[in-house]
Amino acid sequence: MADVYLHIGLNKTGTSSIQDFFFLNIEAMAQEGICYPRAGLDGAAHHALSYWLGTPEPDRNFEQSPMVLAMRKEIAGASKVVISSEDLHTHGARGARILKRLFAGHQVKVVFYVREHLSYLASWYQQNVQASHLSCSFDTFCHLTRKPLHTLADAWTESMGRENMFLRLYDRKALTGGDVLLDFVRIVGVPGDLERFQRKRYENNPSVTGNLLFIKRLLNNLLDKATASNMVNETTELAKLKPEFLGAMQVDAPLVAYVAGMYKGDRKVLLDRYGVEIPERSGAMAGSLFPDFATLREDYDLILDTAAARDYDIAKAMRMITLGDLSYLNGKH
Amino acid sequence: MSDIILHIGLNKTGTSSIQDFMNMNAAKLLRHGMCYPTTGRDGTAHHALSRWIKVNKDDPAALESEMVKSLRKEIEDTRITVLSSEDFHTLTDRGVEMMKEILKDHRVKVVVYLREHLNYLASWYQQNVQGTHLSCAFDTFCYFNKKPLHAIVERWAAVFGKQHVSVRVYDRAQLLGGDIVQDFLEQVNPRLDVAKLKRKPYESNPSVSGNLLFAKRLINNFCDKSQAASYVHEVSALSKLKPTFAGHMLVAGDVVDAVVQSYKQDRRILAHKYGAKIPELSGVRAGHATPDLDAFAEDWALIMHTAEVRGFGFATAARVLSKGVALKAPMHVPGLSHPGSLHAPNPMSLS
Repeated sequence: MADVYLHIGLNKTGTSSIQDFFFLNIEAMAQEGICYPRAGLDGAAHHALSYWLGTPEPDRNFEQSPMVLAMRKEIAGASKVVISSEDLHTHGARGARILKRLFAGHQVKVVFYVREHLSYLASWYQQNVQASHLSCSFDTFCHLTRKPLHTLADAWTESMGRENMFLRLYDRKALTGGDVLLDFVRIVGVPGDLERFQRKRYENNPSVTGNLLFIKRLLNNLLDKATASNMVNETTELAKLKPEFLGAMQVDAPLVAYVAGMYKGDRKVLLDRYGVEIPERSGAMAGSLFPDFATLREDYDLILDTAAARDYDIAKAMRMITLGDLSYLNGKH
Repeated sequence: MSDIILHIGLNKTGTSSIQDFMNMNAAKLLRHGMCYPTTGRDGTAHHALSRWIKVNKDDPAALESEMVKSLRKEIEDTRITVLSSEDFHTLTDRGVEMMKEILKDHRVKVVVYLREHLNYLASWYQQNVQGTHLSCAFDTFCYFNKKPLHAIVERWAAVFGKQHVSVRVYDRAQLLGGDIVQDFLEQVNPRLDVAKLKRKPYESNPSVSGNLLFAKRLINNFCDKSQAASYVHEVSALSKLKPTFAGHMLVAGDVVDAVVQSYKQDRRILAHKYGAKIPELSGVRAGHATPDLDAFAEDWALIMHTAEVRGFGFATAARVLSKGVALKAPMHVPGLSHPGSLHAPNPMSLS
């Protein structure tokens, strides 16, 4: 019987660094009795397993499913198994039930990192504007994406039991060694330091912000999802043009207060039920202005000139818009 | 004891027509023993009562407040009372329980009109782009606004009893006489002669559509909510410039299919438990292309010229893009022909 650790997210809580680490060290981990199965992988994470959960196959043909057969074969004999996909948390109670069946006979534990609501939403929003055709404002995004985190956890607790739930706060101060990877491997029980393993040194998901993000948002009004998504690498490169294009985005105090109020009940339940204390944020969140109308025109020209010189698709899209008189926007953010 | 009809919405199901009718005929209806209370009324509807419940739902002492006393006094000797606000349907469990407490001495019948999901979302989206700073694509709006309608009905049925909830479908083919007001009055008082009462001759909430809606969506990117909302009447006036600026919005077949699929269970529950049969749409939903690329440059010029001539604030806001939005770009951008179309079941990927 193995201890199976299901790392179910959230997105925007350093999941890529955990997944990259385990994927890079599959062989080394196996020598220590820890299996990071190739079955269900899509890239470095078990997104294919997560996708399979959303299909009708687990209900129709469970025992003969190639996914079940491959997974069970691969984990046989391991003392620990790590499964990781931030997409898993979206499957709720049904997903939890199917995975419990898949790993029947093993001790299943769920590791779920949660994050302070505003910084979570901001990071999620920035990624979606950059990598999809999302074109709404951030306040609209907060209004539309009501996502009480305790309900996500509860859905897994119901199947797995409270004693098998590891809810952790994704916050440097709360993480072991201030590092989500170190925090996670301690939960799994990987002994010693991590010097004997390989680690990626760069940040996997830098956030695009400022006027570059605003221009991408504007273009998203004109593009479908596939076209908008294809510009993700171009915008990552363009973000290096100016410090204001990379990092956090500024959020006004009233919106911060609105979000804090919206999730007050969630914070309380997470503390009472799971012992996770999410600090209540107040005041403006620091970061680049989004948008900064005072520099919009010069930033637009800088981005367009650079993108055109590099023959980026985003330049073609930007040529569809010609900014007019921005004077009435002076003083507005 | 009064028979109370609690009309809880939904929004975008002809609520304004019902509320305008009740408001215009309140005095005459009162002579027939039907009360449309002034207490909790904000204009023609009881939105103020709904807001009051949202604020006070956790305070039992509020049941002794002037608002509650005044409402109870106003309805105490009437045979039938109608309370109407589409905002009622957004009350939480606690809010619904407080409503029951407020009306505890009376027989309550809850009336809710539902609408086929795609048409409901489209109408709601059009109103939000016109009246707020919403600037997302329609498929994004559908993705985020998951609103299973049976959950709303069940919240009210749990408190008032399933037998006291009347679920109707806002669909011309299913409404009495194809008319929402006539259908509603049948629920309230079938003996009432509607022909002898006043009606507003025009549609209360015409939907803005086509390139005008898309132009508003573009400008919304530069506006905060209050500024964007301030243009609502100007945009309504501009919608009379061209037939394609008002009415239904065209929705691509893949978006229709995604929405229909995501509410399959909702339709099933509503039909089985409440007898509400919501038709299942398929294929493209007819309407005006939003945007219509071939006509966009010409329409943009028409809208902006008219707005300038009339001194509309919308024209000032639009100056940020006054040099143009060339949707028929000289260089081909793949996918541009169908902005906002749905290409994946999950348009907002998580990571």
